[in-house]
Amino acid sequence: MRLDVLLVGVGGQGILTSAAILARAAMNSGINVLTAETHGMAQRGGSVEVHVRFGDVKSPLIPYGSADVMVALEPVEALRYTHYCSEKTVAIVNTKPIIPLSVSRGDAEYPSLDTISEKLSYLKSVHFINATELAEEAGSPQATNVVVLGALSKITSLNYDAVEKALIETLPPKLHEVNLKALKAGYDALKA
Amino acid sequence: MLKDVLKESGRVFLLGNEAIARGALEAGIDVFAAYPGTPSSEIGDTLSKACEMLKGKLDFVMEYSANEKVAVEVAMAASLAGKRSMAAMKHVGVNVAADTLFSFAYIGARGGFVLVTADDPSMHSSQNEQDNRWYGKTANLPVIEPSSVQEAKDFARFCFELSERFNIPVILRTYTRLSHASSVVELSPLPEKSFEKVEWKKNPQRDVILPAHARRLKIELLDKMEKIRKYFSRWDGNWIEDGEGNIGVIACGLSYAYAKEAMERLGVNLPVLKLSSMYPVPDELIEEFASQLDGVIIVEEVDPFIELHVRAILPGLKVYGKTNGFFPMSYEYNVAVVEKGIAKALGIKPSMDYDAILERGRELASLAPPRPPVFCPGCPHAATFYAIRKVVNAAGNAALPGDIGCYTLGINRPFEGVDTCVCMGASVGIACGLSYVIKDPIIATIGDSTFFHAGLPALVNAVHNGRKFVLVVLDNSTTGMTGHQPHPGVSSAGCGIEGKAVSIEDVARGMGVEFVEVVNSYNIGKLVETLEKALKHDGVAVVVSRQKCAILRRRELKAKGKKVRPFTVTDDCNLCMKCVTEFACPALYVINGKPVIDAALCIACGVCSRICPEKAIKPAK
Repeated sequence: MRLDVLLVGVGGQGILTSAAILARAAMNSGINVLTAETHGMAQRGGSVEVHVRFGDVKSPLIPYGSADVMVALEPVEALRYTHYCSEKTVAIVNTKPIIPLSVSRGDAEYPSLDTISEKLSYLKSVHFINATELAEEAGSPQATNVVVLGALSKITSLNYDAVEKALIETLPPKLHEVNLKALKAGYDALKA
Repeated sequence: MLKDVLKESGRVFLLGNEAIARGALEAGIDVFAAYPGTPSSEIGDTLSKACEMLKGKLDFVMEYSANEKVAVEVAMAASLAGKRSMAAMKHVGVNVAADTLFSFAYIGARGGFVLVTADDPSMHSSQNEQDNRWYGKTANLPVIEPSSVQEAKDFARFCFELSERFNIPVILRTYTRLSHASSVVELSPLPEKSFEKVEWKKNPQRDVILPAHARRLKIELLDKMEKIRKYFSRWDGNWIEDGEGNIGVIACGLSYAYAKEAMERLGVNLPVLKLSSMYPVPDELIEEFASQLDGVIIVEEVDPFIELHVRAILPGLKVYGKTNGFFPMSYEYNVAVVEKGIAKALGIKPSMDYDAILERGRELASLAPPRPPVFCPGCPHAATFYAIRKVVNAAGNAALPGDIGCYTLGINRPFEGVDTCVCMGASVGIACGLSYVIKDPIIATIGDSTFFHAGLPALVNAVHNGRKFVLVVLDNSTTGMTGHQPHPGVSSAGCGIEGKAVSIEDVARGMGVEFVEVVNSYNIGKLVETLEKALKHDGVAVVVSRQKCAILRRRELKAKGKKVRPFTVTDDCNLCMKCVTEFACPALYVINGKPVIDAALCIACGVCSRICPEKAIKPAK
């Protein structure tokens, strides 16, 4: 198996945790996995990318134009990283924006969801889900990063049970209930 | 994760930096010292926790040092006493430690000594992308470069053995994409060991680097390096892979990963020399590899270090590298960069039109509003820079030398509070120099950890030479940017032990600063007033702006089970928008023309309520 997943979003959304859960799921299934993370300066509320590569690969970074799936926890972040995508890429995009200060101050404009959708239309398919709302319904907006994992397991060969088991192993017990609900909600939100 | 680092054996998923820490543990390290710096910080953080957890099983000493020079000296001393030691730092930290390192090369190691340098190609979190392999060449030290997380662990352990075999300090070079990559690693067992103090054995003929001794030691050092060069031609960390064709690839460090994947995508199988010893360069091995070839493609990140060497020893060989435009001289490599270089050398097309993909990516990315890193909600630095901006606006103009840390973000609008940022501690030296040559008032800013790191000598210098400027020490009681390590100003230290907190204000007074005031960063009124007073002081004035890092504050509240009562914008708001245009808190944004506070992000610092002219921002009911 080979699968390249690019996770993008905003510092603080828990993308590193999402990647850790995916990596553990792969480890448990005996699949090789490599990830590349953003640390330091870039984490202070800035734009964040994590590469998760499954299978027999060596480079920690996904080659340009080669992501099988892009998971964006924030809509404009999907636009920022399309150099890793191609016509063969499937995207999962959370529809809840996080407005950057540049927009609040009036220095930049936040594009409409319609514009984002139109610009991403060259991809193989784009699944828009309100992951933040689904996470809130599951009990906490902090679980947005897990909702998208549920959706990811629906459309890829990543086994749902393996992701669920990895989630339990990665997160502290008091967070299990909400996050298991969030994972299921994400899985149910997409059609296979 | 830490529990994986500490596992007895098996296959685990480790971060590159965790793997280096594990390698040090497998080698039975005795002393570790570091100053944190991205991308090296997790090595120290992992060993700090491991030092605590492994007490009684694998005993060693660990400290966060005041700066990299001290870290290397602490670890060097352990080596001289026969102990195994490691010092870790980011690439520019080696510049700080270089004075010690060059002499240490002459003196030589007794216990294994490993210096980890974490380089940062593409400058993800750094001021430059210097290639620290040059330190090997100029200081005469071996440099090892791993190509995977597994090798990061294995080579870290190997470096101790190499160091002891040749009695020489060894440099292990990692970089962002390896230090912050995670992968599956096969562990070797952890030794059980105690830590005992030993008797100091004098050896002044070596350890006192007088000119007479140094002349002898230089010859010895060159002799060691020649032996190591020969050894590297046989070392199993370097190897040749057979392939097809008369052009081969010399792949250095992580570039090996990129080259292998690039060749797979191109559908070619060239002979490969996988090179892990960067210096001394194993000439015999390179000659053997090149003997059957018409040309070599050299794949290495940042500088043409190996390339220049190969050109020098094999002038007749066709070389495809950086100096003749097959590969770029700047920024980190990736599969696409390496694939394009190899394709160009072979006269074939890359597997994809990467330029078109990048062009489309740039076009779409231009629609995304910029999202640079910002001060966190409740960050005390934001409050301090707000106050500095007020004072500067009132003064007309001022020079604002800044320094290295989260607070460099004070450069951004609306604060615009950083005019220069050079390297650790430079704010104070620059302020000194400017005070000789400019008419404007000067307000320099430096963080607490940076103050202890390299601010002290410059401050003494300023006092002694009768300079006049204001130095604001932004004291958030931690080394924030790198992940909240302790520093000499706080009461905790590495390995979970208690440290003596050295008071910044006492240090400043002890250095002869006559104006020293401490203000709570959230108290904007007092801060403005104190800065104005400081500007009138005829001499160096130190203002310590003190408030705990907002991330730590939030964590502590959470640990205590306390909920913050967030602030909210009430109907008294007259939409003057000063809370957004003059103060930039990520928890405060504009919806439909009105400022709104995100209750989930607000940590109730109250600064926005203090600066609101209408007193319209109040704690939520």
